[in-house]
Amino acid sequence: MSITAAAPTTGAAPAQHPAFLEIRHLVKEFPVTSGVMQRKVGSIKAVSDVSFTIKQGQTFGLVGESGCGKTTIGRMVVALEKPTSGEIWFDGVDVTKLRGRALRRKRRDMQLMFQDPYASLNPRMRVGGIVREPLAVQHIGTKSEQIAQVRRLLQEVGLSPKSVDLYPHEFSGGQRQRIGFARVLTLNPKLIVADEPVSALDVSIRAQILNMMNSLQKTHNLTYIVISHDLSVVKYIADRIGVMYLGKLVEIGSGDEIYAQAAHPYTAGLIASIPVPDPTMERGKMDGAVRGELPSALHPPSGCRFRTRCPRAQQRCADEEPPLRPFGPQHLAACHFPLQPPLAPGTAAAPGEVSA
Amino acid sequence: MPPVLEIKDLKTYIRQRRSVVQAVDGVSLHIDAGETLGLVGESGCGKTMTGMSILRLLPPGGFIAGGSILLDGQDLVPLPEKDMRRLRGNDVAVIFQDPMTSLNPTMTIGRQIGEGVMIHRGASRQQALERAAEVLDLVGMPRPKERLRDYPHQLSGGLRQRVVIAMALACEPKLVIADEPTTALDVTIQAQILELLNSLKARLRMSVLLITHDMGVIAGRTDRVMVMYAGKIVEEARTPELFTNMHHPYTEALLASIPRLDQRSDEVLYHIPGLPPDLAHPPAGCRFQPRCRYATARCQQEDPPLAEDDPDHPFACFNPVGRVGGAAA
Repeated sequence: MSITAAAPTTGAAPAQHPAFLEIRHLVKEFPVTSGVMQRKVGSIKAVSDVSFTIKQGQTFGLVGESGCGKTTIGRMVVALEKPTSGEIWFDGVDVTKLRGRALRRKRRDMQLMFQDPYASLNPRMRVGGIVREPLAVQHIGTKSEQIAQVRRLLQEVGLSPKSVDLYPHEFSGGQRQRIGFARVLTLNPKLIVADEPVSALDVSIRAQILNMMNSLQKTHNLTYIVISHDLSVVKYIADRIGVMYLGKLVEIGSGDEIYAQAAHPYTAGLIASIPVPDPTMERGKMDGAVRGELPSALHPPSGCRFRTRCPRAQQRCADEEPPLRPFGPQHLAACHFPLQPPLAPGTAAAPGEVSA
Repeated sequence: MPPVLEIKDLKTYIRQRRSVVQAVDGVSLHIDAGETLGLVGESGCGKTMTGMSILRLLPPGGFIAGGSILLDGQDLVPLPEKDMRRLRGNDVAVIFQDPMTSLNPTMTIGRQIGEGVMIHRGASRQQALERAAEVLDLVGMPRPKERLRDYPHQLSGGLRQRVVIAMALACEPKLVIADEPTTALDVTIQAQILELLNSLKARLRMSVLLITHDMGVIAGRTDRVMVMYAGKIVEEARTPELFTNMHHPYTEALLASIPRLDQRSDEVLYHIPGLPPDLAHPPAGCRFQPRCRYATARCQQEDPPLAEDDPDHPFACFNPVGRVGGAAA
């Protein structure tokens, strides 16, 4: 389904690319193999027909539990993973069709920021080399220009220029995440996919990094996709949020819509499950939290995938997969029995129309 | 009634090649029967070392340099290793953070849970398995009897953590140390496990020491909270009091730096500048002083004691939040 919440320009030929980043009907299947011959015995649909758009300079947050497919989407956007089907239009080009040199050039514009600052930096390289490496790989500038650029970037992310001669182990987790950002910024990307950028960090350091991401976004006109299991982090940093469950996008909207007017029972349950640093609120709730365990992605439930854990589920949820429906101009959710009344068909400003 | 656990002026250090890290530096605390005490702080603040000192499960080079740990009035510090073994998993049990690594992958769940019962209670293998099924049922494992023969890899993360909790409860300990019991789990599962711990505590009248970095977890599940920073307790209060009327600038900053769901998105999040100190060479004076927005010259020279003018709410600060001009001595 093509969710062009941004502008009512679509509905026409798919060759148009109105948004800065548009993801259309993205599907990723991983084969499940067995035995010495690695015979394919089935497949896991890690991402199953996901579409959304992002405007330039905005932050899109993807939330969900482990295994919901949010990381896979991020990896496909930066072309580290090939989708089984679907299109990723980025800045006028379908990234999934790019090969070879064209792809390598495009990669400058889109960078992936990794989760674990302890595992994502080469322990045998000095920080200067780590941050300069992308420039060297892409043959940009002379060596001395590259070194000057590295110093400038390190300063921008709040590290002293002396850091170039140090090794990653001499830095704390938060500082390493700053190094990661300096490295990601070296090629002047337009889009950064940040996969759990702060979940390995302590609370006090987390706030430092989130604020740094916000200010870098303004100075570099960056577009972010922030992937996280932590809804409060995503709500803080994102303009729009997509909630995923077992490979499906179940709700999409602004932070306030998701938080205050969640339409999908899973979104509401996810919010209720988050421990809040406020004893009076925290003791009062607990009823709304999601029950049960995540079903196997190998054999997802029929119909609505959330129905096995949903307090509102009825027979229809097992028979029929709910499409994404509009609940506001930019707010969509996929549920037969939503918590909010949907917009009447026809009045919808957003052509959030559906095809399987 | 005397407290189940009383720690007085505990000092746990770690010897390194060229230095000694003062990981726990003069911590005192007590836990009453049936009470949940939360110990909250960032990584490296000594919260886990405090918990593991009770069971004397210290990392290489770690040793207790001073203080006493009274469990039901008996000091554990001078006890020989043989007696400590009798205690671990029997009087005091631990729930570790990561259920992927705290279970033995080569042993069935039934045997792992039953092992403690056989050792501490002298039960036969059959009795131990029966007890294992009982506690699995208690922690809400579906079809507990059939699960006894399963191996850890056959279970999801949430179910594995239930097994770890069952293991801790098998010998009916007086005190359970839960060290980040839900950090490795998804939020929806975390909520379920926290709820389970709460109901078990009430039913079995255990005391719990809940160690976590997450103020949200602390808020809903503890009676009293101690905030640790750089090896020291900086503030202690009953949970509702701490969240509404905190005095230590670190507590205030820690709470302010958590993004909240009901916060407006355009508000700038408060962040604590700098990094926690190196505990091999802690700064002079107050250890939080280099990062504190209220620090004065006095904070650089003198280490503020844990002032107890209000015995229910001690804090270690010369310029406490919400008290004009610094009331504490």
